[in-house]
Amino acid sequence: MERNVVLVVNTAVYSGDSPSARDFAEFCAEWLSRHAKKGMKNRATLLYTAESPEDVDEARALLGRLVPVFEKRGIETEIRVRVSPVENLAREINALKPEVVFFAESKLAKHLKKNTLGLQVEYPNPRKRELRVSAAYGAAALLLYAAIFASFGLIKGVLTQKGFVSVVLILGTVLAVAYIYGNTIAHALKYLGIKPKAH
Amino acid sequence: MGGFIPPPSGFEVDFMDLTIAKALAVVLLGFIGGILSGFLGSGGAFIMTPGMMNLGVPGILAVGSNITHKFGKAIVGSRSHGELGHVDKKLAMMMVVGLLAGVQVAVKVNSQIFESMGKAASNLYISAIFIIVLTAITIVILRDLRGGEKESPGNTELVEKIQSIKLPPVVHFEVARITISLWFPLLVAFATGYLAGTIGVGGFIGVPAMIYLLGISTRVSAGTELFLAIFSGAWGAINYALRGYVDLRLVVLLYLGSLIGVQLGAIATEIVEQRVAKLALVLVIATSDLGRVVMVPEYLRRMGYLSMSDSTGNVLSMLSTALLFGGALLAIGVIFKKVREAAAVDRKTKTLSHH
Repeated sequence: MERNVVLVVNTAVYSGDSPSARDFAEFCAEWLSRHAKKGMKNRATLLYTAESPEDVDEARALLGRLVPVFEKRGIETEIRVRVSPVENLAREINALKPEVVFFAESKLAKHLKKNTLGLQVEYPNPRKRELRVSAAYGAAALLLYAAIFASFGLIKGVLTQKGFVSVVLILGTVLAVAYIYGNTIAHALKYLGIKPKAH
Repeated sequence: MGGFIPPPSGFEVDFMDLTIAKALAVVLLGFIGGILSGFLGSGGAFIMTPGMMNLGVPGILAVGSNITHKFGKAIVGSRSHGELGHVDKKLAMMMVVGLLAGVQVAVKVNSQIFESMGKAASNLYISAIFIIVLTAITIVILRDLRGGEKESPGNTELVEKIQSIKLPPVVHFEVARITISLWFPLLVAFATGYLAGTIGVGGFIGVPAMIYLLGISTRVSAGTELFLAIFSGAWGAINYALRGYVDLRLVVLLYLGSLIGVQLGAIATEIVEQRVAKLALVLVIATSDLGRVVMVPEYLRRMGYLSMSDSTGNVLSMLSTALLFGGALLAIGVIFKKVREAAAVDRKTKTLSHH
């Protein structure tokens, strides 16, 4: 039994905030290995539609670099580069009669998902994930800061008592702020492609 | 090393009336200090503590808040294992005793001066320690920049002399590769702790002392100091918090700027050469030093030892602030000018290789 799988590589290289095609391929190969049933063979088509004939060689080279990712897991792979406007991509995918279609999270994927056949699997964009995590930590940090400044009159009373309670309050709050706000910055940096440094 | 019971207070600390302008200034101080810490590995306290004092924060509260800020950053940021891999654990554990004693005495002295003599005397004392330390560091870095004598660690006459004194107990430290009377590492640790507890900067003295007095390699000295800094930071933060000398608002405002600044500074280290780093550092330290010197007459006036008009005092305060921020911003300007130049060269190289 053979399972027809299509990887829409355009979704991994379409815009500036897209994840890397290599990471996308690793995700898909991993997913296929994990969801393989006994006796089932996967046949993956790496699909890319180029806007002009000049882009074809570059696209073939890109897809060629992704093939070993699948081959090392024993997945038969085919490269397919078509010269066609990106608007026709859904039609190109459906023409392959896929059972599973892989997209990388992107604006293009959002559009394609409405118009394609088969089981749709989305590779979550790791950069967008960083942004979401950063925003979540940022919101928590904002709440913490607001709580500290709004209730400082109350906190001040505890601080001026000069005892263990004030020590625990100060050090606990400081560690919480450093952790939460520190993570906000660290994930924002990762989103920007910068590796945060420990200091 | 007891002392969990705060001494009876005469003068009480006032938490500053925090206006939006002052809050933004504290964030800016954190940002500048963060850039310097990230770029130079240390040095944030040289600007943050005096900067807060210039904003009207009592010196003892500025020191306590800065130490607490450093403590939180050190714990959460937890130094990389690579850096901590060069620790002589036996030496570190023994030095911790001297270090904590130094911090404890420093906090006690700082508190006693503040509580018995008031804010001006406390500010004068902290400023005096800053002036001594910053002047010494400025001279050392300037000598280094001018290509002064370089002593190779472990081979100086002074090291040999110190290691020849066999005052018991004499201990061998395997990682540090020294055999020395325990009293000397304890003394260095005490001095480091005292400075860390008084002005929040201990490593600048601790590392050179370990290298040039005890004869420990630079790598092990730096690693051991990083390890010790976590203890001195924690102990200092606990002791200042216990006495009510930590303003939580200042700490969290410092974080707002410093955690971003430290990353920018770290990025700059990959681009800017060592000599520029030292130039930036000496600029910050020297202007911060001058800023403290300028404030001495004002503190003496407030204590009643010097006759001077209010307006002269205000001019001195403004001059001190201008020196502090001016020097720091100039240093950052130098760093980012070099970063821009390096980026331009990089772009040019890429363009040429493309053609």
